[in-house]
Amino acid sequence: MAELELVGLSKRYGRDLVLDDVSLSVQEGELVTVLGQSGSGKTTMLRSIAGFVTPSGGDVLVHGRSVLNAPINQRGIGIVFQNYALFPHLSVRQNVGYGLRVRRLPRHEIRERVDRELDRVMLTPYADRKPGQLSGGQQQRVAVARALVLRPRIVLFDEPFSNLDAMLRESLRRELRDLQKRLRFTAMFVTHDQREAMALADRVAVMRGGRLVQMGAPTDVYERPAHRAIAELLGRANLLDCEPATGEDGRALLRWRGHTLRTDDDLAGAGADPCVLLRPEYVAVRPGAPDPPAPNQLGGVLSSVEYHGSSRLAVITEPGGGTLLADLRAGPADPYLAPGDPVTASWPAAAVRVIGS
Amino acid sequence: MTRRLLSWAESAVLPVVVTVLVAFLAAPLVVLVATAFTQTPYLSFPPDGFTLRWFEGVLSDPTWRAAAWNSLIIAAMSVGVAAVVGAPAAIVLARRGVRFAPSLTLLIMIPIMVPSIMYVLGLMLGYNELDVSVPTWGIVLALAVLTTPYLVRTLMAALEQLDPALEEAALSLGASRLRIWVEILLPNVAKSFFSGVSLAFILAFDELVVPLFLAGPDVPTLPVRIYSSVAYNVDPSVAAVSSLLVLVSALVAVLSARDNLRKPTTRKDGAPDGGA
Repeated sequence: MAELELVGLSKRYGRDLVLDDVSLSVQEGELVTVLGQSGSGKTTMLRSIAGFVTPSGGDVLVHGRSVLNAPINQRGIGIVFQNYALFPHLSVRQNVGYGLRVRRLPRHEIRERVDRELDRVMLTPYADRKPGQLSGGQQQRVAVARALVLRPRIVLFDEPFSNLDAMLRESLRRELRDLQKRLRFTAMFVTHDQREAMALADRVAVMRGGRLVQMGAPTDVYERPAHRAIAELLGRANLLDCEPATGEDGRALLRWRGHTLRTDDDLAGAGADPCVLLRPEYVAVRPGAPDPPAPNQLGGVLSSVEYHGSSRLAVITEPGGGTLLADLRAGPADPYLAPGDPVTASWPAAAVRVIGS
Repeated sequence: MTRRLLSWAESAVLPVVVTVLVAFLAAPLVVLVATAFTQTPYLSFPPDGFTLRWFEGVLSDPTWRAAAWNSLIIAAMSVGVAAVVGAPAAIVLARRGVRFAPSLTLLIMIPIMVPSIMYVLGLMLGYNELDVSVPTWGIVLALAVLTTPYLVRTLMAALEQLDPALEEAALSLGASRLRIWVEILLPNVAKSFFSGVSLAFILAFDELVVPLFLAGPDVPTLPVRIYSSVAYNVDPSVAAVSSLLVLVSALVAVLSARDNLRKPTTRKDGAPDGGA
């Protein structure tokens, strides 16, 4: 049985349909990230599950039971907030024990459970500190412990890293992933950062315009986006509007601005104007014009190179004016290419992904 | 380049500006306090000789003591009223999505925008019309109205700075609204509340126009007493009283500012403020 199930969840504010018929399920021990830009409905979805927002339609099931009429604290859901929302005037121990104290549990039981929880998140030495005296990682663990001590079925994460700098986010992300694997709680993590969404997730749910547009393992969503907008949301993408054609050997192929593309994908269902996704990291670039011309390559001029340290992003302009992004892999032996140089871009047929437009 | 120039200018000019400013603000106080020690029976600066006789005289004079007592009681009562009215107002106005909150806040701020002499004149006429015959309460209420804005402002600012997620976090842990206020929100704004209270107290304690117009010699508060002795016979007692007044105000100000000065202001790592 799914730990969390959304059935046709909708939320309407006046005329705006902020959440549009979202159905999904999260399995026990799974970490699902919800990726979307602001306004995609991801936060409304999270807040509906938590109980801060009353949905206009649909249902939220926790372990098979509808929780829509349950108060916020009786849904079996723990929440880790943006900036963690630790109580600044209370010690770590008091923060973690707050939910138990509210529940009027006997004092010795509170103490035992808090101690055990602090031990699990390795914060025992910091039990008497105030949140302001902790590092970002420690604060995160307090927030997780404060949620877990109530033994929720699911922990929701509301963009907890969104105000942090890139380095810190990356280490907190790894720490959270380890913690979740070790303590095996079920989690839903909302973010607008595609790297974060893919790095953390067992499965990514992509939201757009209030709808769930795709859900799958990070590689599936990245490599096989259901929609060109999803392809762009998940990383840099060449989206080529092609025409279907037939090659001399009778095999189906695609044409983009006069260049021939071959693909391993089935072209039968691609329609009259298929869109091709070609990720920049699959495009190889070498100096000089193509010779001889062949499918899955094109000649052009390097119009700009953006240096990223571990890689460089090149923009190649083909004679017709179309542009193609390519990652130039860094390496000491990498030929130095300067803007204005004639280059040849090529890619394997497996990298040519036909997606719905 | 510009930055270095700026920091050079800052390090050279800033101390000068600060010194001049402090000197400008403190000079009258220095004159006042120094005069309180003069041996001459009139105000003289620089002081002629040194004596504590004026302080002794003031502290042993029952009229001065009564005046100080009046001021203390009136200030305490008016701040009490201001707190009872102002704190709930601030709590409501600081909430998101309260209708007319900006207009209501403005309404509360009006007393500090209207020249106080006009406000007091209006009150005088009003009290006369209503035949209010308990001048102490008249003063207390007038001062409460004048000090409430300071209290509401400081408390509202503190509440607005609190992360709204604190409330939701407590809610998700099962706390009731009342518990959230008592255990989570109020403890985090207590310091600001007390600095607002001290500010209001100093203002009420020092206020001259309100008690002078509304009661005059009937309820002589310290400022009223100082005012009348300056008007009738100027001797260094006034300077001595004023020095004591400055001392008390400074003490209250320092006490209420102490925590705020030490409070860390960085939020860079996402740590909630305070706590330390």
